Amino acid sequence: MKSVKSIVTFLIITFILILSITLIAHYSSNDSISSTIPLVSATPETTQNYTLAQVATHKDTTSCWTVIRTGVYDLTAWINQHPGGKESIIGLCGKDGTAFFEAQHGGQGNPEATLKKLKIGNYKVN
Amino acid sequence: MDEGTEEKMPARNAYSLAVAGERSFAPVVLRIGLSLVILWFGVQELLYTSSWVKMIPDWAASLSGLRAETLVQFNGAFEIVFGLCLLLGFFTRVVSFFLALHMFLITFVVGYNAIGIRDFGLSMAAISSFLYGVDSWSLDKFLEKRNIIS
Repeated sequence: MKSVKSIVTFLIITFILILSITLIAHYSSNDSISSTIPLVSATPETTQNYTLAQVATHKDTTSCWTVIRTGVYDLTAWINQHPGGKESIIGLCGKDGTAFFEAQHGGQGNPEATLKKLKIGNYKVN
Repeated sequence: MDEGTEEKMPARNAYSLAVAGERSFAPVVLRIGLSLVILWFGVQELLYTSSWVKMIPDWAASLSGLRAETLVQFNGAFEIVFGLCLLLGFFTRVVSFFLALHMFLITFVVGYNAIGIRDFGLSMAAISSFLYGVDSWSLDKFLEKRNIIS
């Protein structure tokens, strides 16, 4: 059985190590704030309106837009990051994905929050 | 006791010994398997930080006052350091306990979905490792034998 002193020493050393790695990663990271996806606080302005015909032109992995409820979302950067696999996202490109999204994630906090960050505009019926 | 019974007994003992031998590997397999999973996530979080930013809930970023990217990197560093300790079996119980707490927190944050359920399983595995403690292939055992750390 280890003594409290050795456990505390171990925790202090690991904490210093974790902080060091975090700092090294932070300063050597090539990831900039302007990464492919906007950050939490960088929710874009969404005053632009899009029709389904416009959304339909963005139907592949190079530019993947979808309509969910009343919003239009650019899912391009999310394709490779979706925890449930890229196929389900690719299936929504250029379409109204409301029914699919509701069936998979309706009412779940995290998917709704993620979606909010990917919004590029509002859905205009005509 | 007839002849047939006498023949069966040694065989049964040998089987019991073999099973007991295999059982001693169970905590080792659990510890190493769990540590490799955690290490993979830690490395991914450090190498591809921006891909994991979406997993950080708004409240965590605002509560800590740190950028979501920094939180991902801190999380990755934690998982690498504690994952390595678990892999080596160094302070196994302490490390397993903190990893279980960490995984439970992630489960709570992620919520009820496929990822949350997976992380719940990982936290249970960490608890199992915590409850078992030092196994025969861990660095703790090696150091214990030599009274290096007590």
